[in-house]
Amino acid sequence: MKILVVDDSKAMRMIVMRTLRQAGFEGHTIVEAENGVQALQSIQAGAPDLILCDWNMPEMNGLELLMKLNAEGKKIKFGFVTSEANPEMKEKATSNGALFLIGKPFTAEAFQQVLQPVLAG
Amino acid sequence: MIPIENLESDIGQITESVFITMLGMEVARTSDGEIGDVARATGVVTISGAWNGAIVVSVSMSLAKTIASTMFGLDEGAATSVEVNDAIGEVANMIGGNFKSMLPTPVQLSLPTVVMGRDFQAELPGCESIGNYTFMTGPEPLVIHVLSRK
Repeated sequence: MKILVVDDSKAMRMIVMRTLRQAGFEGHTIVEAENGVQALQSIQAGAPDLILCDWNMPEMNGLELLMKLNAEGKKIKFGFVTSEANPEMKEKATSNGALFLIGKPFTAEAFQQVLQPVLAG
Repeated sequence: MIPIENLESDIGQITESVFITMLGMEVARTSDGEIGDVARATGVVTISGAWNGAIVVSVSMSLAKTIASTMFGLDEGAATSVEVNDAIGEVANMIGGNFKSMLPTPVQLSLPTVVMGRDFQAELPGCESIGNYTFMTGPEPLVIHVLSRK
């Protein structure tokens, strides 16, 4: 599977990729983007199977990216990995089709629990 | 100004969780730690909306490099200033984002800003301090300052 990790922090992208490995999700192709605009360019070049996306980013935030993908009819599994996880944001995420919202800080166990059914499906 | 109950314990829980979960670093609340007159890195995120203020996270440059090296998977202290900027910004973002989740809605979190240098203090016009909390991680202090618009 191809997984697109979108976060404006390179440190966080590295932690997300490390946590994927720690959670046992090895052997997947991981690509990175710094914001929604870069993510769209990456998707244009080749759609991923799953997008793990930060919410608060410059240029285009995670919710705007998700809404853009919806408007373009692109059906890609999408989940947020964000420090902002209040009920209002969870509702916005799920009502726009996000499959999950993982709060930062997170553990490998949280990744395993949330991503196992997503990557298996 | 909206009063925030349990501010000290909330900030303590968030800070401990961020440091132990993401960095594997224990932090302990202290009443007498100071960063002192050394180079430091300070990350700031502002919150606006139903509550207005900021979270300011300050560490010595030495601790900042340890945090960045851990986040980037580098040898101890090998992080560059660009990596320190990224890492401290993300720490401020995580602490600010979790703090924001406890506030009345709607509220917006800014992108983080990081300042590095010596002998400076982060102040936001129209804001006052509502909490200044020091934690120790090993021998190094970490200071979280909560500012609220008057």
